[in-house]
Amino acid sequence: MLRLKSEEEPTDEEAMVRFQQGDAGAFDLLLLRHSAGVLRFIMKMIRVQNAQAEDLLQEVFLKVIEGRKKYNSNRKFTTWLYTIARNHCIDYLRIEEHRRHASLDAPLSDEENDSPVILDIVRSVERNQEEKAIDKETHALLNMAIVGLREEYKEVFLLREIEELSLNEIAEIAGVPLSTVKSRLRYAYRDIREIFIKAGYFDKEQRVKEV
Amino acid sequence: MDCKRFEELLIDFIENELDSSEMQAVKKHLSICSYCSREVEEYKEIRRMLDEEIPFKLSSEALAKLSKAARDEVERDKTPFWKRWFYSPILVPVLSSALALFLWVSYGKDNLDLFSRGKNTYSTEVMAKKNPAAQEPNLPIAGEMALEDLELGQGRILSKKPSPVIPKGSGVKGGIEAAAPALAPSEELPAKELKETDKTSDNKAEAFTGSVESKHMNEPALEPPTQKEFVKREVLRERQSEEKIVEGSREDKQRIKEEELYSNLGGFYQNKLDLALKQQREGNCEASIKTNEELLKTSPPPPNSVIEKAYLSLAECYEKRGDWERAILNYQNLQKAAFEQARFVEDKIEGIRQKADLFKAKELESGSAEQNQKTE
Repeated sequence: MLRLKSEEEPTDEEAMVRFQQGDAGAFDLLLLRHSAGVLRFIMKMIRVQNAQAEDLLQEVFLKVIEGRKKYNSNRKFTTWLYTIARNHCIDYLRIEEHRRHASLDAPLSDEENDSPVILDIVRSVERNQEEKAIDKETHALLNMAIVGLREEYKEVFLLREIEELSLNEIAEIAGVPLSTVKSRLRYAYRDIREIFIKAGYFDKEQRVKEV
Repeated sequence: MDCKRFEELLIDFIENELDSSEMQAVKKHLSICSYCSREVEEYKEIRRMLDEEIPFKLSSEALAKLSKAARDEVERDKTPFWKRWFYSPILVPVLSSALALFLWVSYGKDNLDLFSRGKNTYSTEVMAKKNPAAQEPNLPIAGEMALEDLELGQGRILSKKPSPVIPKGSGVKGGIEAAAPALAPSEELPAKELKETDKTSDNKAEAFTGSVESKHMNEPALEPPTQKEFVKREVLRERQSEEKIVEGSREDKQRIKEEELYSNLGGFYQNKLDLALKQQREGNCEASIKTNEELLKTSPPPPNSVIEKAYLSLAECYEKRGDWERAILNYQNLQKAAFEQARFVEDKIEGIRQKADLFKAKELESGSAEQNQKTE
């Protein structure tokens, strides 16, 4: 996930400033760099169909376009971008709250109606335990574990582990102290790990804490 | 270090944010605690899985759409404010209503005033419909003036000095045109001067209209210029205006003619009204009524300001004479002509009605008294 930048390529912040000054090409650069990440963040934050996630992503970037004058170049661009994305997701979730009832029996991803539910995954993981390969089932399990996280944990986890923002950035985006970000991240890991243990992906034995 | 403390430092450890002493302690704990070391391993495993996460790809349509949106926004920003405003859809209604307001303010007062009599006759259409005489002035004859007079004069003048220009229009017009140079040397003089020269022109007129014009001599010295003179002036003006507007459109010609006509007739109306008011003051109700009625019958109708005063004068005269019905009728006419006077007029009419009732009662009394006397 490391972003390699050649020396002549502008940083996100430089590109954004250029866009503010009327360089539409600079926006294209930002779009190419970050659209996939923001789309992934949206899709994991909200379980929506691909097309719907794309719509949400477009709305996020339209907000970037419309609000480009509000961007302060002293701030990291990703912080600003993900703040917009995160707030947009939260707004969406508030509206769609009544529709969203995450349950264990719910399909893992909406684009595949015949996708395996958690119990199938648990079984299949048990079968393929030895291989420990990152196969389709493992991915589905991870995905499901993330999706099932509490909202506050999830956003922190996604921003840190998938979008690779710094903890300070996340604190700014989520509007909470750094210590809270750290504890939320820890809880997120704990919850995911528990799913993996439950699924038999991690060994169940010798799980006794030394106090 | 125990497992609880390690839990607290776990994230910092993964993030590699621990200072060296803390790092030492954590490493020491991990070496002896299989639970915690396992936990770290598992976290690293999760991270490894996440790293293999295939990034979602945005459709090229969506990318193109966003890119275009950015370009449009930038373009919109580059266009100056006035230009953006100029092309904005709000401009059309705003401008058109402003134009309508402007037209109403500048012309509406005279032309669109449908409530008051007289004023609306300034509009071209109404003038053309109501008054075909606007082009061929054929003013109603003011008492002593008769069409024959003009024709008589015309005949003589024509026989003496035929006009080289054959004027279009009626015979009257032609005659006047021919007569004009001889009769009205003061065509450019303002109304006041004309009043002063009235007598002389009357005298001149007498030279060829003889007996008919002699009536004029009996009239008071302050008599307004006769219609004949106005017609003469007006025809001259008309000729001038015709020359002026050769290139102009027909409508323009018509309009200019009307305007010229009015500028001439304005003086005539005012003089006529002055005469009527003077006669009223002198107590000559009969003459005043006559003058006023002539004035009101004039075509084209006089302006509203004149009409109002004429009606008032008429009403007062009739009232004085005890002709209640006609007095009321004229007050009502005044009311129609001048809405703002409605209150005053209503009071007046009420006053007249009371007067009339009183008068009738008195008549009845005297009548019955006479009868009583007779029977006795």
